[in-house]
Amino acid sequence: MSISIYYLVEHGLSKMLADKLDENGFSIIDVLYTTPKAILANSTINLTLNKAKSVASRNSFEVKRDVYNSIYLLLKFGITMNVLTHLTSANLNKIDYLRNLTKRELDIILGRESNLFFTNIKDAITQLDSYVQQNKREVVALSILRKIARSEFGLSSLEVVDYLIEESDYESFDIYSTINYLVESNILEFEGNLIVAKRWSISDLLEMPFDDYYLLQKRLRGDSLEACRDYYNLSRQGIKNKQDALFRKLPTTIEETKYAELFKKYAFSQDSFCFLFSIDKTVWNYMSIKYERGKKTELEYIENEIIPYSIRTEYLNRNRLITSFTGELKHIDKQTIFDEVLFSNRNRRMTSDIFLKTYNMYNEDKGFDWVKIDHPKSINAIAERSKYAIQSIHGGFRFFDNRVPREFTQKLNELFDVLEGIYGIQKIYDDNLELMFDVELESGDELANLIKRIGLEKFPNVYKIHRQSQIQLGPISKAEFLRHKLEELSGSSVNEFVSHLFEEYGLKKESIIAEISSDYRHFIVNEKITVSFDIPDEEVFYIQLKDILADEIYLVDEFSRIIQQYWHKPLSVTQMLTQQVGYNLRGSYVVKQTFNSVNDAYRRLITSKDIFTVPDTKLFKRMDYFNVIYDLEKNLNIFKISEDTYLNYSKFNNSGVVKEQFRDFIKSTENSVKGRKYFTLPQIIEDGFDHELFELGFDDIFYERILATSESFKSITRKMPVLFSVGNDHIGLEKFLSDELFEQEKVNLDDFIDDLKNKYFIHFHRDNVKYRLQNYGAFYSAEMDKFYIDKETYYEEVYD
Amino acid sequence: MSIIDVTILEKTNDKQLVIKGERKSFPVYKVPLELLQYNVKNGRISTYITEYEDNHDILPSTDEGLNGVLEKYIIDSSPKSFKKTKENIRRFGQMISGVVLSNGVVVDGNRRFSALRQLHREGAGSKFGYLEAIVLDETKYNEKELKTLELNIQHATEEKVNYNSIERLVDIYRDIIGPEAQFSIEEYAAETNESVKDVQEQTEIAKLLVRYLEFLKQPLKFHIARHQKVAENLKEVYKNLKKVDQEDLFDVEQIMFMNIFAYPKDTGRTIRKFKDALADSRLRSQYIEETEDLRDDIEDYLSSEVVQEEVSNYGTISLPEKILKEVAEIGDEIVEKKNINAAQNKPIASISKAEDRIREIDLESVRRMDNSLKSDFIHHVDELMKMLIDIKDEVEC
Repeated sequence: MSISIYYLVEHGLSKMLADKLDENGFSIIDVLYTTPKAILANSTINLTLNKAKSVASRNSFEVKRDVYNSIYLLLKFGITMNVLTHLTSANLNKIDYLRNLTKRELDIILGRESNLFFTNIKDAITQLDSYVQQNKREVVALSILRKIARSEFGLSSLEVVDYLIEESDYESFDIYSTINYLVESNILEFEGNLIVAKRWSISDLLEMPFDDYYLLQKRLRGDSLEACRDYYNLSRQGIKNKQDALFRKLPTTIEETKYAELFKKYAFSQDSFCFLFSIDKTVWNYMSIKYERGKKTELEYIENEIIPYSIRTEYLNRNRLITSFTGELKHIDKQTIFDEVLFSNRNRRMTSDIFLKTYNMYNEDKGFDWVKIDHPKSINAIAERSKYAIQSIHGGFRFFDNRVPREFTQKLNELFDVLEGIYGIQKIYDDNLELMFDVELESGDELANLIKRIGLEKFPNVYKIHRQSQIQLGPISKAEFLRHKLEELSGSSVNEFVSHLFEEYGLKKESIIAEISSDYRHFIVNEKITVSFDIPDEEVFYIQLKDILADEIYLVDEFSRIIQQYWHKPLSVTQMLTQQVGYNLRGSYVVKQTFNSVNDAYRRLITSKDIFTVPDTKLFKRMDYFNVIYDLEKNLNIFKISEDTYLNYSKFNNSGVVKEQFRDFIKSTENSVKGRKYFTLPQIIEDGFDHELFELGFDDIFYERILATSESFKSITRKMPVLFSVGNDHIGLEKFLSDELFEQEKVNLDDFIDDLKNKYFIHFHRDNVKYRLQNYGAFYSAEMDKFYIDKETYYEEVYD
Repeated sequence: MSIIDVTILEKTNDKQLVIKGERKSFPVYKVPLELLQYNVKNGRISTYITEYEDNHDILPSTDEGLNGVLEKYIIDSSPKSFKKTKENIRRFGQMISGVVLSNGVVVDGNRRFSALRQLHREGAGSKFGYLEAIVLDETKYNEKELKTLELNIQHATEEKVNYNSIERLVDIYRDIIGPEAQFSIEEYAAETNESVKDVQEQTEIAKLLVRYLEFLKQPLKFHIARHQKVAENLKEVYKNLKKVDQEDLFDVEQIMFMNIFAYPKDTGRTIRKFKDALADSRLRSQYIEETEDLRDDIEDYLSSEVVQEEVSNYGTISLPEKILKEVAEIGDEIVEKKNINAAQNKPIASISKAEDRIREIDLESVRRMDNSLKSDFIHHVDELMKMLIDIKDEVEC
């Protein structure tokens, strides 16, 4: 018997349910705490218990100090709800109020004779007093539990005794013995010297013979819901419901408090879970029945959460993982180790034989015997697949991050889109050294290799790469290309022909001689290219052409398109034909006869007006054009004022601005950047640099281009604002970034980008900075999102 | 309605333009300034327009009235650039042509238009009475095609759009998110020559901006965000939210918005410091719980009349000092706690390292040592054992 359960009636539990719990020997303690009795409750009584728990979990509920003063406890001793209603409506809701009340006083309060009513109340109070006397332990227990529940971290026995002696007349002996009783009954437990509510572990629970214990056992042994179905003769859903009800009844265990959040976040395997948290398999089994496993991978856990060093190391060893040079966790396989070894030797170019030795030494040293490789051929195959290797025809391979920035692919495409024909890839490389240095490519065959790695589909105008040495740009096949060239240059000597192909297309003389000697032998007569074909003899055709051809210079294919508008049969552009209309055929160009060279023609075209707006045609995307533009800018004959507009010097001269002022601007800038290694225009202006040229009010591009003509600076980036290095050496972006990193030693990546923006007014893209710095050998930690000048500095920060 | 009749205008030269996906050459005309008007949808002044509308209801209905208001905004959006452009045009004339519609709206060249208007007003000469521009027949192009043209022009120039400015976010809102949006993320990326990933990120930040203004109870009043210079902070909020579980997203977002006040005009660095703490589910829950009352207070404050008045008078919002202090204090505590957590693991890391080092000892080498070395070695072993026993006692007591 336990009367305290009736206290809950005052707070909304029905008397009937209170009676039910009372009959089954439940006290309020079983409602408030997960007692063994509550765990062992059968399903029917458990329903009632849950209702009581929901009353007790309301915000307003609290077990007050004077719990035994509640008139609702009298329900146990024959007082009906009706009587209690009368008493409470008369504000007589405490036993103490009733204890000294006379019958007359009660009559007045109730407004009627209270004969039997009065007697029953008095009897009930007497029985209650006697109950309290006889069940002192329950009364003291409730007081102790109240104190413990109110403390944040638990209380020592001494503290409990002190508190209770102060507020009640309990003997300290009674208090100590009740504490022991509560601990022995698994309601409270000691944590060090503090008493706290009993926290159940999964193994504690499994020692309790609760209802459906067997079901849980079966599930923990690995039986599926399906398998349990037959045993219980229930549907799958029926079993599931049974299981859910069981989990609702069982308390949240210590292990769940600790690990459930992580379990729901990450997809741990049983082995790893038990290893990482040093726990028994049963815990994992229990969790996996009760909770849905998380979606994030185990590796994400290792990367993102704080884990003791030794456990992390052991985990990596057990799972054959390493922290790679990119800061990511990777499985130790041949590919990963290949990349690691390549990175460690990033300043060397190696053949597969030499690499194999270095690779196997590394594995021997680390004890990674399962990734040993016996034959250099396997090394070549792995190198082909590696994102970090680049091969050249003669010199083996070296470390190179193939994930080049998108801008590089874009720039290559811009280059390829304006070219047509078969080119020696080394020529493409040599003509675009700045772009190649940007991504640190060392030769034409490396470029060919890289294009293949990126994928030909990313380069719409690249149709084929021939043996890593020639590239076909545009749909014209090599055979057609040679045939066209033979027609174009008919009349030239073989030597002139191959020289032309070498100079214009970078095709090797020996291989061209070999090819035309075998496939086009019939076109060689007395060491001369001789292709017989006719040119039109109608005069009107030439008159029409002369009328329409007004430009100083054309590209051959553009010229060809024009003549085909007037001559509707196939007609090659040949020297003989162009001369008929006052032009000379010069390589890929057709140039007015009044000009001595392609450059002269370009120069005239650009400088003939005050303002030159660059037309968006192939003619103005050729290397020859860029060389002329650069030359004109360098000599201060033209000035870039916007992306596609140049201003002639005459325009300045007319406004009273002379060349000396431009030179002075360069000189003043040189003086102002003394002592700096790098600078941008907005940066030095911010630092106070000024010059009379700024009064002209042009955009920064104008001033930056003037600076770019100076021998004292080299531009590192091309976009505005341009980043300059001081001095005449070519410096790549990688070097610049690593110099900046070196000043800080270690820095958060975003902070680093902010710093660069504040200092140079350049916004660098995060991926670009990451790529460049990693390529240069700086160490990036994904967990810290930080760059370190080397891995050692990282270790020092994280582990020292 | 067409108000520019190109047949009576003087043609200067030709200029190429990509429109409807095709590059074509268009004649450039000298268009009298009085036929032209500013584009109210110009991204550069979008926040000024919301501010004007907030204060004055609607924009002036007369062309000149509207031009007067917008000219000021074009100048205010970058006074330095305007001064440069004006001086440049005064000295050399207009060298780069613009693009206008036949109804007079300037699509490209608003700053040049403003400079010419001022020079003309100041009596610098009749040659400044015209804007040299391509004139597009507005009836031949729909709004999306014109917006595409605007994007192409904006992003083709070297003076790049500032990717982190509020104006840029407002543009993205209008073009990709808002009720009149006409572009998908992929289309926008293609037109601006950016990666889809970057535009996706910008779109998410623009959505954050919209939600931030809702948090302030000032929906779509973008000028408030401009005054507060919140673009960098919002970018960092976006990054921080990436590591937060779905169920906590709303709360954390609100907390981050609250912090934007505590670190106004910041480069985003302070908001960034929360990243690790927010990724830690335990600290995150604690942070959410500890700021519940504070968030209620802020919400009450933002709904109050004081704030409404401040917004209508000054276009800004500030939080009381007491609240700001509390926001900063709770935030600092959380960040600090994260660091402490990491530091708390340090003793374990140290002892594990010691363990590893001891395992490295080559016992064979020790066996081969002479007696003097061996005794030295044993001395160290004894010292170590003593230390370990002391540590264990200390921990266990």
